[in-house]
Amino acid sequence: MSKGPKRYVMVVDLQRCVGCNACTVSCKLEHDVPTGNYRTWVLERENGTFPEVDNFKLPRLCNHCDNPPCHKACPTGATFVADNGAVLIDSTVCIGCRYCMAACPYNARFINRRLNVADKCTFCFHRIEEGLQPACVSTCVGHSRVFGDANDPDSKVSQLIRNHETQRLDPELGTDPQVYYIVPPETTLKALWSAKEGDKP
Amino acid sequence: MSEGLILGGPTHEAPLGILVALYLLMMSAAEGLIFLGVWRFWQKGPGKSLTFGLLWAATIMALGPLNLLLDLSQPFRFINLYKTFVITSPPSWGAMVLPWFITFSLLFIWFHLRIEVLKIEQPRKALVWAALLPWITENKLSLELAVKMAKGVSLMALIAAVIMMIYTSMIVFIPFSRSVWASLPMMILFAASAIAVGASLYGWGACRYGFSEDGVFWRKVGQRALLLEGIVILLLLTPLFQYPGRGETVFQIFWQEEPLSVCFELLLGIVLPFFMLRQNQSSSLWSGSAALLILLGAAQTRYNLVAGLMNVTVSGRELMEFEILPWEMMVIVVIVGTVVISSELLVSIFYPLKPSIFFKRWLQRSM
Repeated sequence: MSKGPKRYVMVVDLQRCVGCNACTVSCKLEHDVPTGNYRTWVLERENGTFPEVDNFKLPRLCNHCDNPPCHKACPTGATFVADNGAVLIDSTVCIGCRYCMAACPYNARFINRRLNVADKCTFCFHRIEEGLQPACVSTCVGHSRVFGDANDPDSKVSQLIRNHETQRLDPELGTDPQVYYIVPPETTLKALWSAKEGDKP
Repeated sequence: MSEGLILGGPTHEAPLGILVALYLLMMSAAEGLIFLGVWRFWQKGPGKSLTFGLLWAATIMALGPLNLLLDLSQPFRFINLYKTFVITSPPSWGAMVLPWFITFSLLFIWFHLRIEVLKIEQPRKALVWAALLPWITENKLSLELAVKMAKGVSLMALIAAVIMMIYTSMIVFIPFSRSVWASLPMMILFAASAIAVGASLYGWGACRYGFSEDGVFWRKVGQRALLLEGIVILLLLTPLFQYPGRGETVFQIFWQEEPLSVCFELLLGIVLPFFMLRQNQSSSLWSGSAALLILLGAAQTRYNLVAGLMNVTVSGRELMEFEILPWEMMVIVVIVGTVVISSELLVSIFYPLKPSIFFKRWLQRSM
């Protein structure tokens, strides 16, 4: 058990993701995300040339960075970092300037058309406060997503990070993302996604 | 899945919209007009040739911030900007400095108009001002005191204008969060563009109302500002300034995505007006055309930077279609139209109405 403050992270094993998008659907249902917006989504990526082609699924969500650019960019302080490391938005303060959307290199944010404020993945904060897992983690059929406290050395996420070579999305941007990916040996995370190319197929 | 990833459609789903670009353009014009107006005021004192540009600055400042309010998804919550100050956020800077800039600039303009009104010889015009702003002619403030007060507030307006120039450029490169563009060249580009717009508007006014000496002065200032702009844009095209992690400069990205826009910006917005300003032409049509091209070039620069910012940062989506929606176009037309009409009406109070050359010819033919 962790004796100090919690630091929640997510580990995504790309070798286990089957691209069913159950995580996307469960997140939509859990948070009533408006049509056309997604707090989490799965990209399909192909690597290589015929006949040596591989297909990969890349779950994407807010990286809850330790050095979040959205937090620095927010002019009202609506975006803040919780004690457990989750980056959250106070929807009563947000003015919808969308500057955080411009600052985020991972395009994790959108404007919620129902509330007219910025919105994004919250690591299901209301669930983790109750001791539950985020909706996407609970729903994942391939057990690809693992969520937990990185400050607890006995947690599954800590073990996965210790025992596997994990990669993160564009850490050279200085954001210190807290979503780790276990990538199949035949590719790299950079080959699947970069801030430059983004989610373009 | 791809449908959910495409940004476009309503401006409130894009990180920065066309209204932000319009705000940046309008406030840059106001910054340039105030900066140059204060400088000239200290150089030569108050004068009719400044009144033209300062009146335009007043209407621009009155309507420019409206674009920002309309751009917000929660416009009535704008007061939240004043409940906290986030030093790493340029919009927070803007929220703090914008009221100061507008206040001191309008005070400077008011004192300048006060001085001009005291010189009005035609009693009818003085009456018009008395009707519109009664405290201007009824106030017992002497000419000398008015000049001193104008100089005092002009310094505050100048400082605020410089901070505004820095802040309006920072909006597009999100400093402190993560580096997107080359920061210092972008600041210089925005400042040069603001000064070019201001000088061209002053020059147009000088040509329209026969202040030929001032016209020459403003033409020179405009040329130098355009030259600086052109040098900065060309520098940005070189490998000297690159976006970290991408190996490209912002203008290289533009060049790939919108080469026609870059050509317009460089040729029509900078090169052509530069050579137009070099000609010793005192006709208001010539100077007005140059001013219009400079304005369009400045608008294109800001539009490109806003669109380019989205291209660079909103990389997680399908390539965004930066479409301008009908309601946005209507807002742009209404705001810009109101600025033009109001400015011309205010200016006409100080200067005799000058019908355009085409109207004169039509009048002559019809008689």
